[in-house]
Amino acid sequence: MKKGDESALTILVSLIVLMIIISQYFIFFVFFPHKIIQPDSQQYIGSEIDLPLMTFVKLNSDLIVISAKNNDYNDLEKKIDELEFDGCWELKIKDRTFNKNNCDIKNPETTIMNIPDYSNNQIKIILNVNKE
Amino acid sequence: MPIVTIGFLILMSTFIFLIFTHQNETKEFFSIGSLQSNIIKNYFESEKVFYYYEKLLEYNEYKTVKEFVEEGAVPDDCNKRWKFNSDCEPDFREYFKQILSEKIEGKYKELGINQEMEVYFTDFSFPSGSNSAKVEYNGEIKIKKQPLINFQELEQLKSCIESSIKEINKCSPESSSGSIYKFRKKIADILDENLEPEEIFLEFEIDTKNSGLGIFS
Repeated sequence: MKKGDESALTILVSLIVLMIIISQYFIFFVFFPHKIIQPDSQQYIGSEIDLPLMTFVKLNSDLIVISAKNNDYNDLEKKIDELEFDGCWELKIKDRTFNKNNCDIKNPETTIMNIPDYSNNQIKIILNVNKE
Repeated sequence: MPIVTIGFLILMSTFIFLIFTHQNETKEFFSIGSLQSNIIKNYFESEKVFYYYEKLLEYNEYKTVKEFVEEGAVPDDCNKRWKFNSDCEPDFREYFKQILSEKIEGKYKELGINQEMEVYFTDFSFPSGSNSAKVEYNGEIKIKKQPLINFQELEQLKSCIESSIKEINKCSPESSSGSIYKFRKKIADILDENLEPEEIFLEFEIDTKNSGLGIFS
């Protein structure tokens, strides 16, 4: 084998190896991840509605307690109307349900928070958001 | 040979181009997994539990403060009259602790009132896991806060009366009638059962002739 032929063969082999490596990279990172490493997005979305509910309850806990005690939710309803979520949602406080858009929740994502009232009874607050 | 090389270069360039155009999609796949999601969710759940007990303590402290002053910070049978070296000598922290513990009876494990009030309510445990790992997020629900009542101020007033019983006017009584001196001191701002603001005053009296200090008695 001539010296020139040898170096051409080396280049060819190197290129083939390089091609195989890049092809593998391409295949694993572009095509397969769709099927293999997908996160459990439903659970993650669940966490995303926890934060707005917690913020709402923390900001309005005294109002929630007094509204539930007097069974008068007029002031609280104004605060509930300021809440915004993508799609249909409803908020349940004790036995009252607030559904601003009067829509049906077919596939609910639920989060619950409890607060005590002045007499140490529990007030349950449930947020249902329709999953996309 | 040059044709093969040029062909490879074209192919490689195409692959590199495709990789870069799919870069955004590939990034998403590394965002968060189910285990991490559960850990976040568990953290939020623990926050909710903490908040529940914070509010429970807050409302019960309001009720405790109100009951604390009802009988002048001393037991019922003292009729709001302090008497040193007897059961009618006020022990503010202990009396407050006694009332508060009755209010939250069965809901706590430990209760301490020193510079700060600390209530150990319960424990929490939120396990989460996947095929490859198990994570348990657990701990104690302990709520720490400054008491609404400034016990140091009350102790100072008590010390003033104790040390200046002959010159009790130094301690700024509100009124007096013979040997009986009445005191009225604002001790806290609370929310009442309608969650309306309310100022709380401690009212008590001292009979300098029967103060328990043995000077005039």
